[in-house]
Amino acid sequence: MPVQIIRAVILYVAVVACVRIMGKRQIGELQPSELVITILISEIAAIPMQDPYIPLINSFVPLLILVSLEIITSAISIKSQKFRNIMQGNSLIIIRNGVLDQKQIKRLRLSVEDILEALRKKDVFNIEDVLYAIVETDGTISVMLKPEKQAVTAEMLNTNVENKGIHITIVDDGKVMKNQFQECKMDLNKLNKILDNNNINIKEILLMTADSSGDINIIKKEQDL
Amino acid sequence: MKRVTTAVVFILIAIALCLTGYAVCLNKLNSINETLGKAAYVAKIEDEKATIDAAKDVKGEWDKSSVLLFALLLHTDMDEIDTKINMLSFFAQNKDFEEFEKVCNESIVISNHLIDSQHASFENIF
Repeated sequence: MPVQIIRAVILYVAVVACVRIMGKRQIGELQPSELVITILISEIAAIPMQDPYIPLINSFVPLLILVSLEIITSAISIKSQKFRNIMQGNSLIIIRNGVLDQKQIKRLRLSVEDILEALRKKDVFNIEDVLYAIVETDGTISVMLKPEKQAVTAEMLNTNVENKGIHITIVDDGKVMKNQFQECKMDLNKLNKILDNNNINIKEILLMTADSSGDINIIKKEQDL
Repeated sequence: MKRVTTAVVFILIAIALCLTGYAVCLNKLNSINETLGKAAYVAKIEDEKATIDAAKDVKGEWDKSSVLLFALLLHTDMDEIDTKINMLSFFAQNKDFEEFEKVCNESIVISNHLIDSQHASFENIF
């Protein structure tokens, strides 16, 4: 049994390393080739994990090759449009100005119900509200509403809205996140001043966020938890 | 670009591992086969002392090579040869030359099969 434990740990480390080396592309929506690689990697790692009679090298070599091929194909895809089309396919417009492109739907083997479901997930309940619906290469559907159905924006109202940037975590469960300081123009002196002004110790903070305009939000830890 | 370089390095490592593994397998298995062949011969001529020595030689050769071979070949096949080779000294001491020779020849057959399975031939690939 110790053999299985050691092999499982080694393979776990190898698979995590592979996924990390392949990069963040693997974590989001998967392209066809990425999906294949992900399934293959899990299979390749699982078999020698269960079967101690298979040498680990039988797993490592295919893992190295698959990860390398994935990185190389994605690098070529960035450089070559043709190659990208072969590997990932093209995005296809399935709705134009509220009208379904039935030819494309047939080609994609999508049912009308599939499309309606995807639209509902995008908060669109009437197909006539759609200016464009595009099936992306990873299979998701992007939707652009007709101008009259789009939510009102500050630009439409001709109003100036201050850009406050994103709220960044400064303190997480009593720990200062120094690596985040730059994003919200914060430093230790500023932080100490804020803590003094609020009469609060850093250890008492569950979450503190700040944006680049200086807007701060502090959530204290509950004492009785 | 760093990732692509890593990928190329990975492919080179994989190829190096395969080629080294292939060479090591061939080398070690051929040398084991040679020792087994000699052992089978002395058993055939029923030379008692030479058979006992040959059993020791085979065991020594196997122990030396098996560490690497276990890392490269299917353990089921390796276990089979391992069991057979461990039986040799028993047969040698009991002067069971016929069984000794038979086990040596069976081990050679398995070893040859392992060598064949390493070649990048049509049958092995498909």
